[in-house]
Amino acid sequence: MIVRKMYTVGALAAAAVALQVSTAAAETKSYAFSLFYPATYTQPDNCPTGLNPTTHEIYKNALVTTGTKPDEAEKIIENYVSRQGQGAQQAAKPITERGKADGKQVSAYSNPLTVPDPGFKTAVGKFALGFNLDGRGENDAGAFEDPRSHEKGVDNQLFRIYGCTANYMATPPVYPNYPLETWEMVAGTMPAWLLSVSGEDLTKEGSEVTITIDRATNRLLRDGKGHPRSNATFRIDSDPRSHNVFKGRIEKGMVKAEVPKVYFMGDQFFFPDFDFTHVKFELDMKEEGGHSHGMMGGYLPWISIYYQHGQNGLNAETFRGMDMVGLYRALMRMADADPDPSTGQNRRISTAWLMELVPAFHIPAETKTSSVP
Amino acid sequence: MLKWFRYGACGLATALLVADATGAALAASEPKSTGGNLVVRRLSADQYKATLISIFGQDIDMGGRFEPDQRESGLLAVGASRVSVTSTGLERYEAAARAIAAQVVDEKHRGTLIPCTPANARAADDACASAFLSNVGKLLYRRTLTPEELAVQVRTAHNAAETVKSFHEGLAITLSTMLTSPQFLFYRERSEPDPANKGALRLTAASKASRLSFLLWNAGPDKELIAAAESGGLDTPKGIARQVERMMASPRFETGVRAFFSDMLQLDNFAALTKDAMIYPKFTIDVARDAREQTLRTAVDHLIVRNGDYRDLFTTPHTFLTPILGTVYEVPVAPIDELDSAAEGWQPFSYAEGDPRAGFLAQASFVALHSHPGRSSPTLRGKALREILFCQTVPDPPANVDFTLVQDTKHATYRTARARVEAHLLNPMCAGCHKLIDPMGLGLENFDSSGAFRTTENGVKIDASGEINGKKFDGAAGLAKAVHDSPQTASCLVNRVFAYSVGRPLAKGETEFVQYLESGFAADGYRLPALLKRLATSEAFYRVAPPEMKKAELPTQIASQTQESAK
Repeated sequence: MIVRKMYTVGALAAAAVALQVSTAAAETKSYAFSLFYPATYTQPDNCPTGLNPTTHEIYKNALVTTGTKPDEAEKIIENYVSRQGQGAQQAAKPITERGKADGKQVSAYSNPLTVPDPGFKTAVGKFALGFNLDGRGENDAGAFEDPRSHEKGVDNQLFRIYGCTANYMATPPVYPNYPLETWEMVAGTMPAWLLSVSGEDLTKEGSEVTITIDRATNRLLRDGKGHPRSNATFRIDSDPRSHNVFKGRIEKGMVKAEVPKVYFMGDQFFFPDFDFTHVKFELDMKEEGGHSHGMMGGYLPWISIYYQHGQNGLNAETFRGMDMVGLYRALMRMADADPDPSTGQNRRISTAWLMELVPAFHIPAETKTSSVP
Repeated sequence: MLKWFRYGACGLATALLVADATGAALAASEPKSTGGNLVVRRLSADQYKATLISIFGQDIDMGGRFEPDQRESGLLAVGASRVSVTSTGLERYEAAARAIAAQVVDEKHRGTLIPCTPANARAADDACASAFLSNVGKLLYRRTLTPEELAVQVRTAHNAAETVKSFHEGLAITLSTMLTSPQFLFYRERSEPDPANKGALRLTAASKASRLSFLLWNAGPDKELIAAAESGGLDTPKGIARQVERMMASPRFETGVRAFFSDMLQLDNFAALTKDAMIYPKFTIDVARDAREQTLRTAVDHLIVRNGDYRDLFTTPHTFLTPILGTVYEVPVAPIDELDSAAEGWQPFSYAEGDPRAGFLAQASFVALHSHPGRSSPTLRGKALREILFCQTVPDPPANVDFTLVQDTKHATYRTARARVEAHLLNPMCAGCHKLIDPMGLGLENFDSSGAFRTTENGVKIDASGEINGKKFDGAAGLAKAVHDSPQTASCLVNRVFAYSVGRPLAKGETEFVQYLESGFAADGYRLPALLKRLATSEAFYRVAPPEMKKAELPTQIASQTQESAK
């Protein structure tokens, strides 16, 4: 990580000054998110009753439980998988519209409660990455222990939900397949997310730091290996909704923080927005393989998580092997925070997300490109 | 294109005035020159394209690669007088010519590029063909076509149009033959007796026009220059000065300066530059493209826009960067505003005082271009410094040298490039040359093979001290200052400019004149525009060696064959 200096880059000079004034810090390290994905920590004993079914089984079960004969279900599935494009969409209609409301077939993805619960399998076990979000610690029956920090009472219900679906099963340093694949698809097209840490002394134990999380207006650049390019410059989105500033502290060489809320807008096709509450944050600024690593935990609205998958439910089921109806019901069932005052249904679910960060430059939104014609 | 007139017009005007003032004093003392041989030069790919762009505009796609150029005496411009056209090359020229001619006459362009409409589009129209071919032919052949030549072309167009039943296709066939003609692809210099110097020879006016135009614009003469040549306007110092002033005031002058530096700094080698993507993943094709452009923009900005001292190129903190180059140099460069379709992403950038990344030598166009794919090379960099910037010749290594040690970048004992080349020097067979070049190149060791700045190699702090001509320096900034202060730096530039301008190495009888140019360059504060003006308005620039010398020193059989065929 190079020490940031003041440069005179036309308009950038003013931008850099503005940044310096706003943070009034002796040292700032700034980054772009190069990967952000739900933390999984798969262990052999996570799924004692087995894994969730594969795509073919999902469809067959879904069709049979909604009244289709098994041999007819096989024909429907075969017809669907042998076609492409619009033809496939048409052939998949019996699958997608397996819900029934007011006597009519309706989309199971938009109306998941119109389909019987297929019985989504969720993970059990001792370990999960994450934080003790509710403060109950060891007294939190059924909560996990973080295998790295050994914090007890870790709340990560989202890991329970994803934990028995093959595409999500992985233990660091192995990445879970589906989140990685999704990130690779969207990282080149969606505005980057930015993070900075500033303080008087970023190496001094116990010193206070200021953390910012923002969205950029430009995207990650790739290098020759296809990895996010470090030391790129990002313009900070002026939209205040994605601007977060909170205090943290250096503890055991890590940046740690607790903050009531962190919100940043995402990508329509990846994750519409991240709306964390009861946030716990940690970042190791040491670089490993060109990245710094961190984790953010908190409660997210589970409907947003469902929407990420359900907005294109057929693809999610076909390519991720995840039953949408089962997912919806599992999220409902396992949500553990923010009860609806009228129904008592929890609206948020505990989760932890791992982040990888590459060094980056941040400039204010108003900094113009002073291109030379 | 840089708006060099944006804030540079005053600077350039001042420079030209200074050149006028000092030049007047020096002109009287311009030493006699014998001149050199006449040469026949093949147009470079850039000259081919620049000439056609000046005739037909940017909208015409000029196609891909042509015959590879050949560098001689450090310059492609010199190599251009030593090459011919192979059969494969001719096929490429022909393919390009057909494609270009087809575009010129297509429905999209004919309205603006052809000055008349045929009476019948499905038949020949000699008057319209003549109007087009005489105009274009003059710009392609760099002179007015003789009536006989024009008649041949018009007849060709007539026959073709009648055969294919299309005036425009017929015209395209004729145009494509002109584009593959030696009259266009080569420019052959001719001489005539100099009436002011009995017994001496000078270039003909048409040859003067071409020499001037290719020097200042890297393209063929425009109509005005051809008209000046054909009306005696280039037969007097005043007339030449008028044209030189006009040409240097044109934005096309920037193209000429870019072409010279691209040639001198051997930036054409970027086309073959590769880096090991596993070691230097940031060095992508975009970075290579932008690194080349960065150097050319820096040169034009410093030398033309700012009218700066040539030697300051090595120390200037000012340059231009794109966002992707910023990732290599690790400096902030505002991302391209995606709503601004005109933005290319190039932005002026100035390093802070004392930043070791400032200056010409620290740019990827030098440190990356003169490195190996997977490691830096003090030797290649030192060699480039001596050969490119000091005009010296460093012999190639013997064929049986064992490079194992210097290539072992993970050697347990020799962990830095300095340690490895020092160990390599223990071989007395290698030491002779390496002692001359390595101490210079080691000053750039803070830059890896991709051009990125580093302070350690394999965990060991890099020692970037070095020595140049007996003077010790520390790091890239020290090296830059040493190059700046070396008298060889300015002297080499003048020699390169001269060789570039005449397309051949300096002849013996021109030594005194080049020394005069060097003195003038210093007197003008090492300003490139002033140097070019002094050269372009000198008598020696147009002087041709007497026939005995020409016969003795005719460069190649190819050239004479080409001259014959051109007749």
